[in-house]
Amino acid sequence: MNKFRNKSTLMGSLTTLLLAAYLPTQSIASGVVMNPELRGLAIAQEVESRDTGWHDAKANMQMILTNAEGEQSIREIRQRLLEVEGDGDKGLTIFDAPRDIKGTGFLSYTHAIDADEQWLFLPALTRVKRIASNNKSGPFIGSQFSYEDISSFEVAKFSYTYLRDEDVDGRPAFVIENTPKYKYSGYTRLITWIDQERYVPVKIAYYDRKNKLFKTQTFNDYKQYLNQYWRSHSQKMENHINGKLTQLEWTNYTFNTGLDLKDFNRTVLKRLK
Amino acid sequence: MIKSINVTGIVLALVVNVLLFPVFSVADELEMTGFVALETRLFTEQARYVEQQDYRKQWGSQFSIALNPEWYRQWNGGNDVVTFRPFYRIDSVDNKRQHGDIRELVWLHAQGDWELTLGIDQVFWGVSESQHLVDIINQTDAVESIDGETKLGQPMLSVKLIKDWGVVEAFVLPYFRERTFSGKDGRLRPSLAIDGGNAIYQSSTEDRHVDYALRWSHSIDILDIGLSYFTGTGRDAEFAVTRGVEPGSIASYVPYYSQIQQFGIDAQLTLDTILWKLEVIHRKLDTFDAEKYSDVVLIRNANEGVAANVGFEYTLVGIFETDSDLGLLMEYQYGSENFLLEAKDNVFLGNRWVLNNEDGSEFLVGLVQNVNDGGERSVFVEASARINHALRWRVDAWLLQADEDKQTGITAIEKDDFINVSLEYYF
Repeated sequence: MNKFRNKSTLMGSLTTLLLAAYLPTQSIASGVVMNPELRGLAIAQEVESRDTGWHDAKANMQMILTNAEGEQSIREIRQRLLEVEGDGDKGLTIFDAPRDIKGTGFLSYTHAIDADEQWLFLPALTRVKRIASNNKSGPFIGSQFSYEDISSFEVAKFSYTYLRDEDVDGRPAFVIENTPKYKYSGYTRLITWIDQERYVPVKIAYYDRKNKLFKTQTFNDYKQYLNQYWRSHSQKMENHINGKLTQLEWTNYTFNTGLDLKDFNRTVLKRLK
Repeated sequence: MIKSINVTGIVLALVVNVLLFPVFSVADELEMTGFVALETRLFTEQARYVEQQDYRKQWGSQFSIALNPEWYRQWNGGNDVVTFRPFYRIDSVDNKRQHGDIRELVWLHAQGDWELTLGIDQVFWGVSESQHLVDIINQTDAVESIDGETKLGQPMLSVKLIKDWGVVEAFVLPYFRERTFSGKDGRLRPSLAIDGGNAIYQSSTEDRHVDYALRWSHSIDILDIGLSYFTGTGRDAEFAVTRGVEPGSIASYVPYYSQIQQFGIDAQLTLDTILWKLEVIHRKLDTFDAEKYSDVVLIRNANEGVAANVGFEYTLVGIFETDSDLGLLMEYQYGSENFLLEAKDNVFLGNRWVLNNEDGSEFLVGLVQNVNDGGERSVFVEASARINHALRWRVDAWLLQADEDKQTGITAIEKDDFINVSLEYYF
């Protein structure tokens, strides 16, 4: 963990130095002559740094799964998050629906490059199971989101190339290509559209291992919390290969709820229903 | 059934209810959930024992309905939780399988780095798939499922301490739950139905003997490890034979519950694609007092032994360019010679196929093969999927094989291959 933190700080300082040397008068947004890798990295770092310091959050999520025939099924989830600076966040997910998996708990310690640590609580067996961690590319509870799609954004996860500026729904965005560093990633690259004012993603196109357009995610209904942190309340993931669609509708976002490390111990899985 | 509604249980239930009743009025959440399951079992071979309902009848069938509601209440920001989960099964054939239980009636209080549990609860320890050696707090509800995964509620007082160096749990278990056994009409039993109602105990306090358990567990990077100790009434029943009128004949099998001390280790290494799993126990049983129980003969080979279960689970993610995961499981079941544990020198091979689809479809196919005796094996299939937001189907099938001339755990139930189809409604 500390290794990543140091590395990312070092790279951060390096970028700042380079920026200072080459572009003393230009901001990241208007840097025209900066090389695309450095510019992409600088934008990613800005995304991360603007989303640092929120500490913890709780939210409810409804996941609407639509298949190619238009049939829908719904999952209801309660989410608790703890920020871990310099590494992936800790997350606790409790399922309320469908009813046969009600009370199932999923605890994850996500990591930027290393495999995640994951525990699953199965209420029918009252059993906490540590589960295999190479499944970042696998679907999350039958949805079009994979585990890596829903885990927290960390600069160290990707290498970056700035491509161009482009408007999305009338708002200017940076278009950046992210190449995953995690060896079990399901993607060769992601094209991300980052809002130039808020530094949050508005659209991501995912390319599969054969470098074919696989999925597109769009982020809508952004709201700001604590005068700083933007959260999308409506995310939509379209799978271009199987025609399926998954929507995430977020409600009851609350920050500074008093959660700390002990609330993300594997022992809490049993008592959270 | 009468015994399961016991004094200790009632006292604990009252304590939980009375202590917490005033708090209920300010509880911030009240929920009722649970399920009802309709179940049909079809036995593919003729029953072999005279008293069984399907004696010499092909395709014997057994219908049942299981009720498992759950009430759940939490307050104090989720730091106080009360759960009540009664269970009842109605069975068309076996009056011993028709039974009830309080699976959970428990108050849990969390504060800082510790937790207190008071009431009837379910506790699972261990990592293995094919058998659970270390797991010892709860008694097996053996009539529920052949794999022994279903447990009876256990009255307890427990304290859990959550520290940087691991989690320590201490248990006081004031009441013992007797294992359930098929009745004389039912399948999956030895030649004589086990007379559970006449169980004998080493301890004069019988099922009121107070048992204790202690466990330390920790998660260190890729290693999850647990060390545990139990002293008290052994959960695994041994069998004593009562003599019949005819010389050398057997009148009945009765369970015998000895005092035991058990030390256990469970560990799992979680690598990228493979999970390595280990469970080891050392169990020591107190010597059987043959003079005190002169009217019975205990079937026991050794007073002390070691058993282990070691294996791995390898997961192939996204097989055949689908969203499916295929888990390949292999475990070896070891038991020191003549030790009472039945599962010994077996190899378990399994394939778990998880579709990762909207319906949550899952299939598990397994084989448990005895290494020393090629004729002894069991094969099982478990499959289930969601029908809609409230309904789920489930099919379990078991094929049991053993050599007739060898008396092993499987020999007695060798004709009891079955297919179990159930429909579960969740509310």
